[in-house]
Amino acid sequence: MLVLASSGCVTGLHVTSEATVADGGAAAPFTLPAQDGTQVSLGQALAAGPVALVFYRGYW
Amino acid sequence: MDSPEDSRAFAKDYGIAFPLLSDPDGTVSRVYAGVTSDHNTLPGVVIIDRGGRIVFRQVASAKDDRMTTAELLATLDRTLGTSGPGVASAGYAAIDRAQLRVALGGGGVRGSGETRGTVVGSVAGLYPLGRHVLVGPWLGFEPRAAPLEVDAAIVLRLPIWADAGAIELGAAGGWTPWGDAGASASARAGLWFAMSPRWALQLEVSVTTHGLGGRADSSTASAALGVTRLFDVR
Repeated sequence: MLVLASSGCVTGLHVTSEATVADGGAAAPFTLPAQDGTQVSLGQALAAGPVALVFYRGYW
Repeated sequence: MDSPEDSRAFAKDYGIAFPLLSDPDGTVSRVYAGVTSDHNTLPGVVIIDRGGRIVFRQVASAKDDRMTTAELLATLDRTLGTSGPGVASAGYAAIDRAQLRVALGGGGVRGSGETRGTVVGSVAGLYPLGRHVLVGPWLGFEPRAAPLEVDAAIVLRLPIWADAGAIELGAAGGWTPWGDAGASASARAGLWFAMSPRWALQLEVSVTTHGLGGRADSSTASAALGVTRLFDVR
């Protein structure tokens, strides 16, 4: 299962908040709205198989 | 910020079947990828195994650092021990879609011993038979000799620019009911370029003969620029 999450569209800025999850650690649970209006939770997605989360901004 | 509504339109255009999630306040982005000073997420990829453990994480700091689709698929296979099929989505590519074309241009009409300038227009509906052939009805408009020309057209095309464009050669034949009434036949050559899965531009030159078998005949040579609306026909 592939999931994309988006949050905006700007480049060339400095990082103000580092991620808090780490490799090998537990994934933090979340629920977000999908394009079809449904709420998708990580737990629900994992029930169907591994999950790829792709974070993007705008079209890149 | 992409709303679920924006994502819906994007998913429809690009034939995306997997969930496109919106993270409006950046909560999830902040946890998984990090956030920049303008509150936007950093682009990144996180792979989570069935047990909910993060088995891969890569966050890009610049546009050129982001993974390509091929790299993402290879990373998924390597990380999860799979060898899945590529994410080809039939019907997404502009060149695979049905077309509604409108074009406008100008040229010259030769008939009754004289040549006159004219405007030309056309509307065509073209259905793809594979990547190299388009067929469909073609309506031509040329006020001097053939106000209306009703044709059936075939376009042979050679995809270029990674299938985002095509070099085209076309032929059409049909009937001109008014003006130089009678059978009509035309040949055209053009260049077509898709700007998105929904829109394309085309440039064409054509030669048309009107009124074959009628009382008067004429030939029109013209060049036209047009726009194509693309439709998914899966």
